[in-house]
Amino acid sequence: MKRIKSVLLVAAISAMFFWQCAEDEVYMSNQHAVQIGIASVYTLADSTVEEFSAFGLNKTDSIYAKAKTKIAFLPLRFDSDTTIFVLQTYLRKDTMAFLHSKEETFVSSDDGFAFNLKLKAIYFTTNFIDSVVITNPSINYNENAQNVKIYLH
Amino acid sequence: MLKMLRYIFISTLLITLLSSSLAQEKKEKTKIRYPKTEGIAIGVDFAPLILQWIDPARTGLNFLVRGNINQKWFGVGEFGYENFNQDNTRYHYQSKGMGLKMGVDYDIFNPSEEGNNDNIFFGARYSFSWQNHGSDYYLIENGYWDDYTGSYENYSFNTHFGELLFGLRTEVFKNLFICVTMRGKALIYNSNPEKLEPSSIPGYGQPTHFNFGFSYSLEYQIPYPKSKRDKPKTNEKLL
Repeated sequence: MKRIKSVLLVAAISAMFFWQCAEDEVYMSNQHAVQIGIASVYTLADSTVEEFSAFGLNKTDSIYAKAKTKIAFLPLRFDSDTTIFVLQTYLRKDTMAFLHSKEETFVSSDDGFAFNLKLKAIYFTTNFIDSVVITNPSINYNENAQNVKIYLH
Repeated sequence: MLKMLRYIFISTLLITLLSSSLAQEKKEKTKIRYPKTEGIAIGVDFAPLILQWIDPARTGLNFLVRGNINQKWFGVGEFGYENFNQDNTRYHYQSKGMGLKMGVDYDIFNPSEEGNNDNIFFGARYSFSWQNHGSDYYLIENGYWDDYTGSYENYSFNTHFGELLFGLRTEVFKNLFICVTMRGKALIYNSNPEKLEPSSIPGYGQPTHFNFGFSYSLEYQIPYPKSKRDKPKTNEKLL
């Protein structure tokens, strides 16, 4: 009987310990942004762009300001199915329009909801951009994958 | 990794307890066994109060009724309610629900002393829960463009799940028992039609396919009227 009482106590403490150690999911940033890889049209290899700036149409604050980068993350709008950005390197400017759809997804009881986005088409001007390829149209929450490749002159 | 450690810990605990009790049974096989007092027990499960202390978002209470079918088998019914209210900057969630569990426990503990009514048992439950939940506000942050806010109106759905459990029950005072169970749970059916997932299912916990839980209850047993079978018997006759 004493043994059962001791085990009862241990079991209760163990159960509480397990409950307290429940894992929580972690909210990640950049979850609603197109991931863009930059490449040279001449070598077809990944390349670095310098003095790179990007901002949304009619927005005053920039996403990149004269940055040196190989990859760019451009967040898409939730209130529209089209998101337009102005991209610049040195004095050359191009405009890119992303057509996309969104689907709501439940993340966790801590973080609530997020969107999974899907690229449908991209339209762009060609001052320093040569061509654009959609490599993966799905921008899913909690996934880290390149969506678009931009080939520059 | 943590889930695996839980499996290992619980498995080790169960195997140790089971093997030691079986070993003791083997040694005492020839001794005289005394029957336990049979009766109907009513109890309160304090596990929801312990969980509320750990996680203030949830409130609830469970009650149970346990009755001897014979010396080895118990019929058990459990019922309770659970409310869950959570507010953070990104997500508000509210749920009210109740649950019902029906099942049996099988006692493997043969006492070797008179008046020992303790139990070591395995059991199974079939469980049903109903809940009404919704989210009056949630926010999806963008970081550059406008954020998105939405809501889900309250609606109801139900969940069916099964449980396998291991329990220890000891009489601390005459007819008053403390009972601890550890439970493995499996989701069978959930009728939730929306993307809004419950933060907690009453009686089940987080809405994963498999889950663990525990109960810590205080039970008062009302003995059945005494019968001939209350007399001491040899172990062989009991088995």
